[in-house]
Amino acid sequence: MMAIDSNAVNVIRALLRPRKPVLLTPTVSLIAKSIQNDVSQLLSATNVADTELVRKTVRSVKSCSAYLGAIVLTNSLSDREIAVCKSHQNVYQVLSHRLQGEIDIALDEIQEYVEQAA
Amino acid sequence: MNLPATNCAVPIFSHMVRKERPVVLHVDDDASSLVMAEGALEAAGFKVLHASNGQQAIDLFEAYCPDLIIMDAVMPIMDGLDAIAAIRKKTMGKHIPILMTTGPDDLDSITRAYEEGATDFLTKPVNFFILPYRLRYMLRSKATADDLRTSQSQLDNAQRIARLGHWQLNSHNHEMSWSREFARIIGFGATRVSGAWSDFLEKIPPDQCDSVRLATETAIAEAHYLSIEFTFISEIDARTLRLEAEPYIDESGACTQMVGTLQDITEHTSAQQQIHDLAYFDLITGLPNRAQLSEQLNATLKLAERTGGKFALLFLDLDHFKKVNDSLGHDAGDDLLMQVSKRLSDVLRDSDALCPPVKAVNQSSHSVARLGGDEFVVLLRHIKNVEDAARVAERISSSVRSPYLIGDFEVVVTTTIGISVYPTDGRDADSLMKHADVAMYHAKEEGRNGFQFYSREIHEIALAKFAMEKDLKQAIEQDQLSLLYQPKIDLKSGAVSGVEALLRWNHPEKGCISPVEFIALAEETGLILPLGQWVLDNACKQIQLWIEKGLGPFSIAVNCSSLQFTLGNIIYDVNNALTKSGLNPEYLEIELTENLFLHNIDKGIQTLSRLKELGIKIALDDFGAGFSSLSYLKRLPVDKLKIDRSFVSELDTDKGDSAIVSAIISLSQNLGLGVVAEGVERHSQLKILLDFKCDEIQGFMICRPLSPDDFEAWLRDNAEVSVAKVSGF
Repeated sequence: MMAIDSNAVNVIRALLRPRKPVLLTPTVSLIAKSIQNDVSQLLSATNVADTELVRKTVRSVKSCSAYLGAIVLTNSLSDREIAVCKSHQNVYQVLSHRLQGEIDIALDEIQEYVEQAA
Repeated sequence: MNLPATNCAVPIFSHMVRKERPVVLHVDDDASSLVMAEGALEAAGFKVLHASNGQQAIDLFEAYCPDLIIMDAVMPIMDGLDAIAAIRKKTMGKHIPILMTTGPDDLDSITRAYEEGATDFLTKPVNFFILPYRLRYMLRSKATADDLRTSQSQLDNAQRIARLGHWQLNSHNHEMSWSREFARIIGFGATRVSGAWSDFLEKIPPDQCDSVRLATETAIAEAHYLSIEFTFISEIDARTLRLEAEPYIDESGACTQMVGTLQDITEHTSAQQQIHDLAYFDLITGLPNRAQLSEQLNATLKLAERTGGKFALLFLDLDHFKKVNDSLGHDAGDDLLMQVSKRLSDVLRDSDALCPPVKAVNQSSHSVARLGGDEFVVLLRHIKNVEDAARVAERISSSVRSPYLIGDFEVVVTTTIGISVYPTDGRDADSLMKHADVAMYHAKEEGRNGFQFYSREIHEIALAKFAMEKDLKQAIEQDQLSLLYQPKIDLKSGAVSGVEALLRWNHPEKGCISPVEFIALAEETGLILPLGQWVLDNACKQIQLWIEKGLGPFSIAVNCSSLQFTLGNIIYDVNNALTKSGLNPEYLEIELTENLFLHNIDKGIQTLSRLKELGIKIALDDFGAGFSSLSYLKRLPVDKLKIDRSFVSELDTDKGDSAIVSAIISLSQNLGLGVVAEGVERHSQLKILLDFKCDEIQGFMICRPLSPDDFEAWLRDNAEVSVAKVSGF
């Protein structure tokens, strides 16, 4: 399964603004930066077991990834959100260790699109 | 991007910024989302404002009044759901389209978003190509909804101003829907927009509910237009409502629903009534005015032409009314006019019995109108004769001249009346009015406070009869009446078999007046009832006196008018006379004519049978002169027949009369009835009656009618009277 929904990326790629550059590159940059910040915050919150902060951060990352069309990542974040909401700490901690890897995969894949667009 | 997401500074007069492009407020804490959406929307011609949380969204909404909001659900500080709720509470935010963006699996947010007032939602990832079209569609929908709301509001206002509600009724399930004004008029709650047909009917007063229901059901069944007015009792007052509808018809021609209006026309009806009142009624007295009188007079003329009826117009003028106005002022004058009007109305109401209402036009028999000033006109729609008009005029004169209390003053006025009678005095309204007016002025010249007919001849006849009526009343009260007695002889034994009581009027000035002159008048005026009672009482009393003196016994015959049977209570009168006198009923004989059976023979027979049960005898007077139907003669419970004197008078010279008398006597004998010949004056008549074996005779040949004393003397002198003796055989 592809990590990225190519349709979503194509939509971003095709967004045209009069007299302005295409949006895909700055958008992906914003998302990458935002996700990295969120992941750092997420891991810290996980370590101190701040459940509410974990939940909020998961939703934020999930929102970003959903816009991007990062299907696998979004689904994975949904699982984490459920685990947090239902206080399944063990499940959540296991999943958290895999999060960075999933994000890297998604960002790598989208980077390909960015390069294609360039 | 016009404003940074974190900057919510609000420019002054921002509401006045002209929106050349649709303004979209995008609320999301995700910067990438804002960037992407802005890219798509700016390219599509939208102006985009950004907010990164709910609170900023509210601030920007208040400042810029955007045309549409895209709202993320989950955000820091204030989430999108709370922001929607807050915006919806604002006047400008009630109808703004709000598009929620949620994750694909965030069903809770979707549900809550709709509950808080979101218009639509999008799941991520958003297709930014489609997004502008989506927003344009939402804006078009909003514009359409705004137009609809504006139309609805205008319609509501128009309906409220016109007090006009609309409604529709499904003819199959009898469910109704209605507008806000309909609900307000009929008293349903303002928020209620539908209900059962029966709910509506329950609101209508019971006495009018059936007619509304029937009219509507008929309109549905026959698929035609419905229009009906009814009175509705609201919590405050009675309202006049008009229900109108037209049918919606399907392919088969059946009515599927009625669609129509309900209008409160109370003020309209009231205004119409006021216009009508102003046009047709006198403002001071409330009586009909000249215009209405003219219409009434023309209608009465047409009816009289069709039926051959007679009516009278009385033109009244108050004598010296100007003096009241000049001395006491116009307010006093108006007060007097009102009091006079009331008296006129009262007199006419009391006079209804005199001249019964004209059923053909469903109107009372009389009406009074004020022409202006001190002039009134009374229309007597149905009179039997001119004396009726004279009687009403006399009553009016009498009533008007009683004193009036005007303020602290007692005022006396009289009226002068001119009378014209249709058709004698004119066959059109103008002639009748003019002639009544002329008659009134003539009466004024005669000295006021009286009445005058237009025709001198009619005036004299009416006055003479009217005077006689008054005299007759006095005669009853002042004992001017007397009874004379004429014996009847049994032709077999020659003995007195009975006497007939004959009424006489001893007028103090005119001398003895024949019953022929006054009985008809007594019947016309109803005086026949007290007169008949007086005759019965005195006749019974006299015969009982003679019986107690040892004279007789023989029966006494008393003539009764058919009106005593139809208008009075003859059973009661006879019983009363017998009780007061102590007379044995077998000595009382009631003589009546065939007129009694003209209109209702069964009722006549019933009354006679009850009289017979009392033990009295019944004789049929003037037999042969009326319609003398033999077919029912056998049914009548009578004891004897009195041959009409017209046959007896020429009995000895006219073979035809002789044959008739012979036949009547033979008929009587065969029916087992007695027979009396009256008006016997000559021996030749007596001889024939003896040959025909007549039972009894009566007439001048035997004895003239005598006063009680004379009759008593005659009776003593002729104690052994026999036919041979009286006849000289």
